[in-house]
Amino acid sequence: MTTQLFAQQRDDGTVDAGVVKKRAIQCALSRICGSCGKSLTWPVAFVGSAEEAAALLFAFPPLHPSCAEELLRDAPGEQVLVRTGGFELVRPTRRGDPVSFRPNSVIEDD
Amino acid sequence: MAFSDVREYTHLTDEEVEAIGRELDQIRKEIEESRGQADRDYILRIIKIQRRLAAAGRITLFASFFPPAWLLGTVMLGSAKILENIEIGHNTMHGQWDWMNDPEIHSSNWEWDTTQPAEQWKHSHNYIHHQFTNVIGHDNDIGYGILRMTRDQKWHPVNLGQPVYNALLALFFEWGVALHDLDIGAIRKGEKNPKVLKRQLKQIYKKVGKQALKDYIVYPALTGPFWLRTLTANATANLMRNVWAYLVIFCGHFPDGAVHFTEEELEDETRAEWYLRQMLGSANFEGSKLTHLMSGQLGYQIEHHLFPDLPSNRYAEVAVKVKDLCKRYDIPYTTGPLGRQYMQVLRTIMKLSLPDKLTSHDPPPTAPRGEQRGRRLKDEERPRARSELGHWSSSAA
Repeated sequence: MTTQLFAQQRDDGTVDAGVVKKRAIQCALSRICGSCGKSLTWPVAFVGSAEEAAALLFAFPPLHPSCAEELLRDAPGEQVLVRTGGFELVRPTRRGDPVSFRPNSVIEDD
Repeated sequence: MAFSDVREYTHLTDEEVEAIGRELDQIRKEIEESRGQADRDYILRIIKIQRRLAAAGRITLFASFFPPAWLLGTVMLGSAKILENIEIGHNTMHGQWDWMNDPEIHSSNWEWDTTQPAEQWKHSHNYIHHQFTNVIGHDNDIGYGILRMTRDQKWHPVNLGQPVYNALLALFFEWGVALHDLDIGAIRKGEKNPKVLKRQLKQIYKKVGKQALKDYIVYPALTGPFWLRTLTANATANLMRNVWAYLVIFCGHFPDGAVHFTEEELEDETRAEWYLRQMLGSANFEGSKLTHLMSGQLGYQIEHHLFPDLPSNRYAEVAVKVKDLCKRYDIPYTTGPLGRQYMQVLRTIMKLSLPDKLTSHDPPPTAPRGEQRGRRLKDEERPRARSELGHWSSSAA
């Protein structure tokens, strides 16, 4: 993910190479896209590694399907896209750990 | 001050806090795994009832020249608005029904029958209120920017009018909610970016226009010569919804026993600590099944704050387990009859309208953190409100 995404922007305007925890929580609760920061639509998309997709546990916040496809174009072959109706915000059990996201109603590709 | 120093937790060891977290995780898991057709049937049934109630109310108002029809139509319409706003709209926007994969009953698409745009609600309520629950300076639900609800908020002579502001807030609650995401406190202090404010106001203006057109022009016009009666019925139905929603929300966080926090207490908290903060910052009320339905199951406010995205119809069964857990770990579980809970809220509002020195012999139950630490907070130590917004609003800056 090479472009500056909403979930990577810190309060001071600098950019985090990973995900800013506060932004990730905001995306989950406010139902906004981790890429463009605008309100999500149905369905919701997640982008992550094949391992994340297999485990159904993503580090990057929910996205619009179109924003997700744009991210995939930036990293072809490395990322997987999963569509879902809903998801759960998984808060960390240890201090300092990031939050993650678990899709709960995956829409299978035709 | 570390989170573990919060008075209500000090008897718990780190291992016990983690064990509580695991038990609550298990409760959540059980609901997630059993979530299915019965829950889907529940929400579809409630939506059907709500729509029929609204239609019946509107139709009855065609006979509003006959006073009992006016009364009946108004009550049906008011009840439909209450159901739509609290049990359906509020809970859908939390994502409680997203798992059904129904694009209509989805947190992203639901627009509710009230003046606040859903998008602003999802920021001010779902994020700010639920993430920073009862954190002074962050959670704008603490007094809605106009009421002093804890001694951690500095007293000002304007607070003397609190009983009046409180009554006005109850009557015009829809409008208080509409302006909620503007952050009245920041506007008052001149800290609000005028461009962001303008953009938010424009969105509110559009939503208010739609609501006003529906309730005060189109439906009254449809009833022809009885338009004025229909208009007053619609206004009364909105008033009914306002007062009830105010009551439900204020009883969720301000009765005796609900704790306020400061920012330092939530710095990098774990899931177990987050659970505990939600439990201590919220209060339930008791009532019949109908009372719980009409309050969007927010009589189970503690359970709602623990699991805001689980289906509301499951909160009653979750409450039994949470109450048992609180008993075993000696954690406060604040609950009581609705009337008693509201009287406690009202008492706090009255007491805090006065300077602290006048109530020092009988302080409100929401003791300030500064006093718990043996001293009073200075103004510069009082927390500042959160200012971040979603891209939609912040891009105007």
